[in-house]
Amino acid sequence: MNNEGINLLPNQAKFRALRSALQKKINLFMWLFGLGMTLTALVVIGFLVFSKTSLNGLIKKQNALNMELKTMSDVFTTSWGVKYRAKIVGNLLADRFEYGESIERVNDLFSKKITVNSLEIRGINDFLIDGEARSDEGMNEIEELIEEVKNKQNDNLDNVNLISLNKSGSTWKFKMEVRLK
Amino acid sequence: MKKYGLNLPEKVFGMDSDLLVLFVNPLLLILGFFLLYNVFLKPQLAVIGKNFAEIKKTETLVKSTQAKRDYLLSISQEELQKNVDLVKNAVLGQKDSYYLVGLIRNIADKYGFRVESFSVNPGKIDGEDDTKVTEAVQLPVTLTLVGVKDKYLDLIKSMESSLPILTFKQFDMKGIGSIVELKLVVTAYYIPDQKEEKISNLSLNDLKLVGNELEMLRTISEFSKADGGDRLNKQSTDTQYRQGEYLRTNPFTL
Repeated sequence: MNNEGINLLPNQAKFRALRSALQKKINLFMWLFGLGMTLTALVVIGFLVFSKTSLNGLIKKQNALNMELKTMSDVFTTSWGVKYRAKIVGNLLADRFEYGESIERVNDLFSKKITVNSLEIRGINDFLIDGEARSDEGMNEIEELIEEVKNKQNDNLDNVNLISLNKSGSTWKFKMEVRLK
Repeated sequence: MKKYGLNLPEKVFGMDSDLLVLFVNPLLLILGFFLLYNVFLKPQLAVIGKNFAEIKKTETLVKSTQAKRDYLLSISQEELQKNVDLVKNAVLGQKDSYYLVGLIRNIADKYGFRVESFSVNPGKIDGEDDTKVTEAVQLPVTLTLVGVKDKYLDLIKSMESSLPILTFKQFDMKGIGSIVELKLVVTAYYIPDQKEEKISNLSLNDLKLVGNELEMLRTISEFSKADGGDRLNKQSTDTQYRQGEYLRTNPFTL
């Protein structure tokens, strides 16, 4: 070696060593990346196959069930008809006001001393009563009833309004509006 | 330096080209991955997503169909027929006001009442169209019944516990001695057939009777079936017409 030349061998060796280390790292990265890529592709293919198979299986099951339901179409249609009508009839009944029960409650308001001559239903629980009491005891009963309602002591009536009162001989004729509770 | 068929300078952007070429393969690999992702994986992922959504939908459908099948298999035919008869008898078989008058007359007969007069109201009564049940057609009739005072409450209760279901829209009772005159507006109902529907479009809720419906069936099973004559067995509408003559039966005659 002469004095003018520069010895580059150590630098070249360093560079080669660096290159070789880098190459190894890059190779490792490529292996891992390739492996990751392959695994990802396999997972995707796996999910694809699984989803297709599951879906086909379910569709088959659904078709089989539909076929089975078709064989029961008579029961199906009948049940549907019953449900449809039951719902409507249920609503009709729920919507209906039971007059029989209310009239019975109105009749129970009076004892045998009082006769109800006419009864008009003016609305839900609203009645117009035309009656007569053949004795003063009967009239006392009417007065007591009115008193009770006014003092909120009656369990059956919400309101009472005496519209008219006539006396002919010993008979008291009255007309009153009552509202049941 | 010659690499990949190219003559490369010693340095590129101040970096040793020998080092730079080391990155070519990984870059190609990454590029390959992006190509693979965009060309194959991405569309397949979309397909998978669609498949899973479809699976979820089909699973729900299968469950619902299974529930419907299980319910239908569990129904007793006897019970079903009983319910069919009950809901059928709960309303009029057809829009026939004369049948309704005949039916009320038959109930009244049992309590010694007679139909003094009647009028049929094919349309609505003013202020009386208060039902919230729009699926049912109302058939109101106005009647005057005369009978023994002691029996009128029994008659009203009997009418209220009869099939078809009768609803009082107006009630007026006038007594003269032991006789009463009842002025009534009574409505029965007619339910038109429901629209045809595909079996697959109906859910279990459209088939299964729930609490208040079962309760209603129990209630009306205690009602007694009233009859308005054999008009329903005839192929008639409200009024039959043949050769210039209306064939209207008289509800006052037995």
